[in-house]
Amino acid sequence: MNWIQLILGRLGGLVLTLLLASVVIYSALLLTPGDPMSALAGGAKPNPELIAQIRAEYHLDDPIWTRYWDWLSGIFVGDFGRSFVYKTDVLGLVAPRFVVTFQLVLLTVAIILVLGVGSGILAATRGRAVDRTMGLLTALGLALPGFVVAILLMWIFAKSLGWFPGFVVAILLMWIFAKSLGWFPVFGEGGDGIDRLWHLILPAFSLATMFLAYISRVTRSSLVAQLHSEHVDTAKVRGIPRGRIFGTHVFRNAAPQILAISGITIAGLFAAAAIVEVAFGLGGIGSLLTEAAARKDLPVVQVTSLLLVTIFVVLNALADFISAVIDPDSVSSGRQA
Amino acid sequence: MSNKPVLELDHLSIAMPHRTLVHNCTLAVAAGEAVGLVGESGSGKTLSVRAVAGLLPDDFTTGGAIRILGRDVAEMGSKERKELRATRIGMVFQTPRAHLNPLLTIGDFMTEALVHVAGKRRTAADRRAAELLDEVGIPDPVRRLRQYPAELSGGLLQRVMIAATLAMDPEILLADEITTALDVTTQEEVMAVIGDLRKHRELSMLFITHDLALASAVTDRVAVMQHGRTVETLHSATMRQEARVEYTKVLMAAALDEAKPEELVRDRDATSVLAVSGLSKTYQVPGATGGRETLVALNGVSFELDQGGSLGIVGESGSGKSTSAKIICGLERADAGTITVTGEDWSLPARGGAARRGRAKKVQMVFQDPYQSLDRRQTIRECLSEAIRVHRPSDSREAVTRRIEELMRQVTLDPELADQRPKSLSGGQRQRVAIARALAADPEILVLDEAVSAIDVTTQVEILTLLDTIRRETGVALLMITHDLTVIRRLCDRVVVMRAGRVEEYGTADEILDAPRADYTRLLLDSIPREGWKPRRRRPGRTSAIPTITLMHRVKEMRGL
Repeated sequence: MNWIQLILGRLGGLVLTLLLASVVIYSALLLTPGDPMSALAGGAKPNPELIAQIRAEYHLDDPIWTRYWDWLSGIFVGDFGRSFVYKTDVLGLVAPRFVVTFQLVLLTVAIILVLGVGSGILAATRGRAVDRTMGLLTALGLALPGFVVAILLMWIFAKSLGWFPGFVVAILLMWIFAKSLGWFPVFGEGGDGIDRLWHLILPAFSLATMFLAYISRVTRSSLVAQLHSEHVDTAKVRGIPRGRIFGTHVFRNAAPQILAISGITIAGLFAAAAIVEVAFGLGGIGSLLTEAAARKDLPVVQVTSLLLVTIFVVLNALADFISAVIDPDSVSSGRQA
Repeated sequence: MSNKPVLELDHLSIAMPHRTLVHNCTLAVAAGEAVGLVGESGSGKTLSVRAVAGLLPDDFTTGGAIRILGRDVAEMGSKERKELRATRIGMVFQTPRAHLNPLLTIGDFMTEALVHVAGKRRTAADRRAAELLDEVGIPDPVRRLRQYPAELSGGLLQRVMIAATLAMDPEILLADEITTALDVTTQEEVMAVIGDLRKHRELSMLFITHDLALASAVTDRVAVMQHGRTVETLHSATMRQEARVEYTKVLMAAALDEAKPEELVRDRDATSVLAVSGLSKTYQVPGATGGRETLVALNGVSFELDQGGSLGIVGESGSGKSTSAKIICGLERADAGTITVTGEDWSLPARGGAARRGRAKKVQMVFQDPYQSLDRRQTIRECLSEAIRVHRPSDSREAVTRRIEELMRQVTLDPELADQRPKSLSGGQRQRVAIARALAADPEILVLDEAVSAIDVTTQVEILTLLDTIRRETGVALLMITHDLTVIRRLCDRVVVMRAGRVEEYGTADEILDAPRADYTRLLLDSIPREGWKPRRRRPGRTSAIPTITLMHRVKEMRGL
């Protein structure tokens, strides 16, 4: 009963949020300056007949709420409208781009979870020196974009290896860095399969840097809280093996918090991916959105924005739900005898 | 009893990096013997026991020797030491709820050591777990194994902890303040269980407590610890005659049931400053099988508090005593009933800031834990001047300073402490600050919610005496909420005994403490440890101390779900 209530409540809120978002997205874009006509006419000075024809074709003379309703009901039956610029179906334009973004986010998530949670575990369990180092690294990761970190690291290496002429080390490191960059393609999304993965590695790492540092810190602090909790003392007194104490009493109890925050982080990745896509020339949904906005391609902007909002809201709700499932309080209230 | 001690602490000292915390703890526990380790908080008794169990932080160092079954722990290899501790020692802690993993079932917890340390098979471990729960008197053990800690009462959880330590058939039980967090009746039950176990199993016990009366009732010998040293060891039965050290005598005198109720000069026709009548309160709680159920927290509660008088509300947790206090202070809203304070109707919570301030001037509250109720960033002076300013915003700086001095004198705090922060104060000093802060408003009524329960026995007496003096000097009426009847005897002239949201008995302190009419009051009185007291299992098969939820009504499930 509790679960059904919980799910229904979340679903209701979700639908309401999405409806509100669709209204905001649709109206905000129509209120922006600039006339979609120029985009539609394809740059040429349009003559009056052509204007009338286009206005009729795209229902630009209908009242706004009618157009909103047509747009929304169209989405429900799979008609996402036509691009002003490419004159093709929006769906056909968005779908392949979405696949690229999705793959990028998936790879980023894998990096974040493996390295973030992994380094968090190390920081929490491997003594003070490791903890301090991780604290420093994550602070850098949170504060600096990935490429700055790389240059900084080179400088530090050069300084600490003082017995070697600094600039030699710097050049050497830069050479290695440039070389290793050469191993990974810097631009474009590549073809399919392995080639695609290859192309996504650098963008994924640069997207992951900040989130990775954040998840690492969250993991560390929730593990430390559990390590010092009293029920862990009980387990120690009873002589339970170390490995089991960590797995069953520390990590499992910290997992809901780590998961909840990871969920919210991952939901934000789709939006954050836009910058990286533009920087690395990836044809993802984020770069599509920036292009479309620049060219006043309203149908594309609207659908893309709505898609991003939907992903964010749904993933957030999912993260909420999962952490509710493993949370101790709901465990007990769900099974109270 | 064999001569070889099961546990021997020989000049044990414990130090953190820059400070020695325990200087010399020396004691021995023979086979089948129970030894109490008594002292105030900070005397080092818990640290000593944690050293035995191997629970000290990594950067702590120990000196002297800990010998378990005659073998020095320091001379063993780490693997051997770990195994010795896991199988020979059982430790039970103060707060069972915090010491059980909330995500594991009772069954997981019970069988964990059997499966992962002793290498038993799952089914055998399950069977053993059920037997052990049965041994400590938990009814329906098989069902309990499937439950989570959150579903059990504190008393039951403590018995689960005890049962779990028995799984490895230990030689000695280390019990660290195991009943401090429990009600007095539950405490008796748990101690009775331990008494039975010791008889059947020849189990030794090291029993740590700050309650000398309890220690002497359940142990053979008592070691008294002060400032990190064991100052003397006495036989429990003849403790009174043997005690030589001044500190032990202070501890003994502090046992509150010794205190004669002071003769109170009572103004017979005093007007009542607080009158509560027909107070009722229910809560909607999630039901056992889904849906909602109604929990009756208060059911027609009535009592009066005279001007300058003192009223004690006694009861176990769940009896509704704290709910009453919350409603009086306007923190909760009553479903029915009236509250009259100095002739004004306070039945509903105050609306608006001005009305709330007006009420706060009349009723002030002192909370249980002085470690949490003070802002650690504020000095005492800041804390008190803030409290004074709330009610007298336009007073001059000199007037506020004078008032602070006056308040500190009232609670007998050294004026030189005025610029200290809570961190550098003892528990008793902190509670004095909390009382001074409450008095700053010059209230008519002081509500004390378990205000001395978290404090050491010796300090408790000081605080209670102080409160009595303040009452006589300032004429403030005291409303004391407590689960401890001995506190009532010291301080209150009238008593309300509550149970499950109802008033069980209401009368003067003398009547109720010396000639109780209600069975429940008698039970509460009998559960207090004193000389010659032996814990008994009063209600065999009872699942929780006192049913905390008595009146449950099934409410129709909401439609459409």
